[in-house]
Amino acid sequence: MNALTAVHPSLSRLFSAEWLKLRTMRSSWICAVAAVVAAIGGAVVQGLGYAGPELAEGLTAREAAADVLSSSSAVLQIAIIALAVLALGSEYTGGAIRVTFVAAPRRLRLMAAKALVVAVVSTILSALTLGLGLAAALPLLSRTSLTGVPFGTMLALLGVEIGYCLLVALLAFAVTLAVRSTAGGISLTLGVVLLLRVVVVVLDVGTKADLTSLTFPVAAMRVMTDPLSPALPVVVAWVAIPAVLGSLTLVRRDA
Amino acid sequence: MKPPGWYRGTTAEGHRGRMGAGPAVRSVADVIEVQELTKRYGVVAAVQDVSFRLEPGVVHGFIGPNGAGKSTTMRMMVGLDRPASGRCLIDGRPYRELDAPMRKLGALLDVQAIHPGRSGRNHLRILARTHGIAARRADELLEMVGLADAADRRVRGYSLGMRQRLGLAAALLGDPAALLLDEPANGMDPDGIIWIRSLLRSLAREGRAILVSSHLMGELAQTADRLIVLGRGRVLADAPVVELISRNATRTVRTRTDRPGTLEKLLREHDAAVALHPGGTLEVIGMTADDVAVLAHRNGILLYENVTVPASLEDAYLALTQNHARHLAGGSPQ
Repeated sequence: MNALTAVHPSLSRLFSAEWLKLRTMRSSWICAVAAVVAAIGGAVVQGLGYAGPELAEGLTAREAAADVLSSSSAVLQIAIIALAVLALGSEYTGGAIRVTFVAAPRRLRLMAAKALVVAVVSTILSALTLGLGLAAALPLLSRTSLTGVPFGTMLALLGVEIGYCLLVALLAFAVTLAVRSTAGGISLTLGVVLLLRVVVVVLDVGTKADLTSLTFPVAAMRVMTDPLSPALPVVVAWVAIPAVLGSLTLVRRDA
Repeated sequence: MKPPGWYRGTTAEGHRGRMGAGPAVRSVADVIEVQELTKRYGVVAAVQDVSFRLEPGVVHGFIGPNGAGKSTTMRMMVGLDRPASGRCLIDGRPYRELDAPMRKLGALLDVQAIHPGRSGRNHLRILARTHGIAARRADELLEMVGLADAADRRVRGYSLGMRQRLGLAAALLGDPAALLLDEPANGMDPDGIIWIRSLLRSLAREGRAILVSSHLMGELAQTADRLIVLGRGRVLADAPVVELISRNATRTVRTRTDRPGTLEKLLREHDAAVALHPGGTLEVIGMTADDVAVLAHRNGILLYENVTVPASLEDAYLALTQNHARHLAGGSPQ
């Protein structure tokens, strides 16, 4: 292939371009560093809690490892949300999306490539940082003998949290696709992931209903522990509704 | 910043004159056809039934006042904006349906629409990857537009002229058959303007169809072969530059004489419009220089100077838009 050869922008080529785009953005690296710090920090704080006999009493090693990973991903998801939103929102902020649309006028294919990059990066980042967090917390757990979880069980626990972070990333991307703004994407996604549950818990008390199971974090965690649980359509709806609305706008609106 | 080099494959000649037919070194058969494009924002028609055709090897100037619909038309041509009706066909297909759009049409529409935190080199490499174009092509183009030394700097630190050069490099990445350039000389220094003029001529000589908008009419008059004039969202004229000027600009005769008052009176008696300037110079509209000379001779008036002032594109443009405004207001166009 000579330097001038040009071929059609396939999904794989767009993936390659979007990957380069993400890694040449300073904010991506800031998010990645924040993810490492958050994941390790969350795990160590939880590990320190279980290093004392008071909190560790009555816990199994499996429960302790699950709690460490859960605390780790609870803070990691904020960095993941920022990364997923910035991957798309930063292009809308300065109007760079127009240059992208001229190079890749088939917008749905372009967004599929972007979403794929966000999914892959979020998965790898979650796996690495959660793994590092768990490794940092294990010496703390060993002080109260909360170790010795079989490797397979440990991988399953890790898989649940990685899957959850992936779902959060896809939600953040879908929301940003719908609102086409970094600020809007971050605030709405954080609201759905962190605040909505708190509000709904209060509503549950007042209405005597189980609305909490319809919130994204609860439904997503249920799906990750049991993929065929009744929470699956709830998670699909949370991600698909903004994605479909965003895609319709993407195709119909002027750039 | 290094002085810009030349686009590989072109000859580094200067301006070859209007409608000059240099040998095409590139065979491009594609024609771009804009067919009755209309764009409405609410009840306001920003662009209305705009039709024109871009021919290979021709630099088409796209002129019109702010808000005439030039940028909107260009955005519709590359699928950024959806027209209310009409279409733009490139090689018989809309832009969005092209297999390798950057190969067919390169566009420079908004130089501010580049991520400020990314380097110029990475900006080009990202675009190149979408079409499987080798990364070294980006480096070649950075060299060509004179940005090699600034290639690894963040775009945030680029001047407007540098952003224009980067945008041009991006438009040329796919070695396209046609180019759409919205105000490419905006923000460039005089050297840059001369450079871009020569570059456009070279690219056209290779057989590319070029549409370039500018509010600098003198610049377009020197660069373009053909002009498409837009006013209030409509095409007012689509003709070669020379024809457009000769058809629309009012000819003025400048005369200096020993008896300006007498000559002025005589000219007015012959229905000419005359302006008498403080230095005794007369500007005459409605008579040729020959007619003025004959009239002066018959009345024993000595002329020191008697010349036809060359009509400019600005004159033609103003006449065209004024005629159109009168037409819209209900008067008859002249």
